[in-house]
Amino acid sequence: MGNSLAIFFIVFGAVLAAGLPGMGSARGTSLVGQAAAGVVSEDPSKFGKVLILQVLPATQGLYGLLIAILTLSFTGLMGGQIPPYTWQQGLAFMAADLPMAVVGYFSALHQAKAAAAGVGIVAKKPNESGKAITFAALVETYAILALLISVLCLNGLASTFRA
Amino acid sequence: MAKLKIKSIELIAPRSRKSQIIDYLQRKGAVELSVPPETDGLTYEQFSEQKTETEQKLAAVSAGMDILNRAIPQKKPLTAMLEPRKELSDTDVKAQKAALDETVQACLHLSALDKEAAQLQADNIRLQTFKESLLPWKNEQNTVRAGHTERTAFMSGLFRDKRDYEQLLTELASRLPDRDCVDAEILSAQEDMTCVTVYCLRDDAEEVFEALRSMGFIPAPETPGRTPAEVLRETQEKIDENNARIEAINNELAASGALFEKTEAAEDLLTVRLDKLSALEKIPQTQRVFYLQGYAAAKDAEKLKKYVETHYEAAMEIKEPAEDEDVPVLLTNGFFASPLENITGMYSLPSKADIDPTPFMAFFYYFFFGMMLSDAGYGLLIALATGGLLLFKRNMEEKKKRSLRMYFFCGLSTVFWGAMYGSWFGDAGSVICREFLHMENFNPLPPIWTDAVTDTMNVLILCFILGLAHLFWGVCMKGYTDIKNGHRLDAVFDTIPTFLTVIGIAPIFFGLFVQDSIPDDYSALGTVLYNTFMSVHGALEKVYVYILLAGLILVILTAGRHSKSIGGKLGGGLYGVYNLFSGYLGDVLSYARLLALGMATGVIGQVMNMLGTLPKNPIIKVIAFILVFVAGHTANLAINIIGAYVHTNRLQYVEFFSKFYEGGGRAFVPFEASTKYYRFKEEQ
Repeated sequence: MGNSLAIFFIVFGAVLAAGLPGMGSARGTSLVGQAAAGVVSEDPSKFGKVLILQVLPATQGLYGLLIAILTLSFTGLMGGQIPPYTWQQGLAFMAADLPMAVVGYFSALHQAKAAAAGVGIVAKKPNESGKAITFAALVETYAILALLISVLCLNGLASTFRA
Repeated sequence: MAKLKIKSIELIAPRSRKSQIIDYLQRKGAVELSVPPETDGLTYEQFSEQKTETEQKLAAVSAGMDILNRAIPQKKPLTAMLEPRKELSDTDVKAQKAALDETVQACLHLSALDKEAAQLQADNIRLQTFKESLLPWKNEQNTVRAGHTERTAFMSGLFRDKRDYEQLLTELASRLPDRDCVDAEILSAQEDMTCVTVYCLRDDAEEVFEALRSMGFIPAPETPGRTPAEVLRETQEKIDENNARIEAINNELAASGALFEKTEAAEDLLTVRLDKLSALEKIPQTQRVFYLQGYAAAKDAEKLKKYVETHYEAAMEIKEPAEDEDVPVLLTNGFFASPLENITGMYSLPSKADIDPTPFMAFFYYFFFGMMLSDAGYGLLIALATGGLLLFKRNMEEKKKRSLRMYFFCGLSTVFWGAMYGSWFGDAGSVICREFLHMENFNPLPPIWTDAVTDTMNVLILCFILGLAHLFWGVCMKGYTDIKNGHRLDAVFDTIPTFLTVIGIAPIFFGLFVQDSIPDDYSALGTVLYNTFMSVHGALEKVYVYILLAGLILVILTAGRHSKSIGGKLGGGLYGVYNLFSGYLGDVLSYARLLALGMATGVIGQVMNMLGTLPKNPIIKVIAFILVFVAGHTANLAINIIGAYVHTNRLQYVEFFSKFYEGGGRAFVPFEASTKYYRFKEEQ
């Protein structure tokens, strides 16, 4: 019983890690895409430049996916050889997924807002699009920090529980 | 292999040669014209009339082209878009120019026919409506349906339902209680229609008519002097006549296929003429000579000079552009890198201080694309399709060849990574063996290195190492740019401290991702990586610490070197350390997308294969497998090719370019014959 509850927590954590940042990235890329479509309708040659701005908030979804897979892999769930975790241990794994899940969602949304504003730069001063990318890319820093913490927690938990 | 050397050119020639010289330059398409500043004593020719005339002709020809395309649907094979524009020799050009006015007239005629047909169609709709409103009255012999005598008035019409005499009069009475001199005659009554004639006092006619209207009364159409049957017949005749005319017009349009070529040529020639007129308006002149300035690639400039000076009595000067001039940028690269010039252009062309980054990103670009798509089956499809087209359609235009070549190299790289990961259409090999050949646990195409889906950690670490290599390559480019611009000291300070710090911290960083001891299932490469970065014991561990310390001190000392005050230098140095840590941490982690996207392709591919094998019945299973395989993998390829493309671009733009590249250059826009259907043949 303890073990199946642990598995539930582990899977739920993985689902949150893949799901929330995925949702954030979907909303984010859509937001920037709408702004970008306006620019492209005026000047189709700017497609490449605004496309990059649109892709920026897609990263969080990928990081979330990565954490989900690492969770399944570190806990042994993916190989089908899962050690007998207690439910508290399962809960700890779920907690490790939360930084990525929560920060991933919000940083995707907010990065999208910065990127959508950057679309305006591309529209008016196409030569300065590098700066627009920088503004938006800075927001991503916090998704990266969250990714790092989630990986560290997962790694630490896996080696602690295995010992 | 870089940015082409661009020269500034100036040309002076007699006015009598102006048109010829402009024609020549336009045909060559090698010069970007610039507008010289206005100077006293120089005049400009105005061509507004000719321009308007040319624009009108162009509009007529474009309209003609639209009509032709509508009237004669062109069946184009899928490969049509790869065909080059047709060639037009000088004699052809002369012939088409001579026929130009005739073609314009023919196009105007087409437009007139098209307009006539549209009007006839509209006419027919109107006639049809009239005919339908008259149909209920076709047996009526009377030629008048509304009128009056001295004291009484009458009107005929219909209701769209069944009514009898009493019903009608009762309703009328309830609507007009004080008008009792009303009578009606039911002419015919059916389920859905009642035809009536209503009589009333002439003074009441308007009010009665209003009341009838509000009851749904539809007055009968007038057919003065003739019976409805006669008018119906005439209307039908008119419709038939119109239809016959429309058919005749359509036949004539359909038979104008011969006009296609002429119209295409006319559209091109008129576009070229319009561009030429616009260019001519910007060229200043005196009474005898005209003056022209612009830019051209150094390699073309000499040839142009020789030609115009021997043929057109012109004098041309080729100069180095001045320091503050806004010189346009033209890139030139070899077979391997030239397809990626577009990718560079999409970000921003190199500014004066920049190097052309295209050749330096080419290898990583293809390499990363393959790693993200990472299915050998998909890669093979892409490489075979693009390679085949490149081999068998050699006459394609250079621009199309380039994008095909880009996908060819991307495809090859994808095959490489797919083979490394053992992914050939997902796990199709082992699925087929298990489900159809009853060979359990047999994989005909095992991974050369490791399975990315199960061996995540190893691949992730490889991603970080590749990312680090890519970033370091960018830092090297920074040093190279510094040297090119003559800043040798900067070249050292921009690169060495970064290298030392990042190398020094790398073991700590990788330690976060790797467990304490080597697990048994580590692959060979994983073990090597582990030994390099992780099991740094004793003396070696100290070496890394010293490297890190040396790097940090250098960064603090040099990062703020452009500040004037001591405080500013120190602050700049500390800020440099912060930037280095936060920047490189994020940048390196960002390469995790190499794994994530690669794994997404693999996992979706595996799911597709699994879906195909769900049915129990062996025959249905084979059919289902084939269907799901084709549809599923096509969809997976389509989605992931886009993903791989945009995320490869992102790694180049955000991570790589930010290390050394400014951008902001202006593209070279040659004055050329921008034709759609034809290209002018090079004459000897």
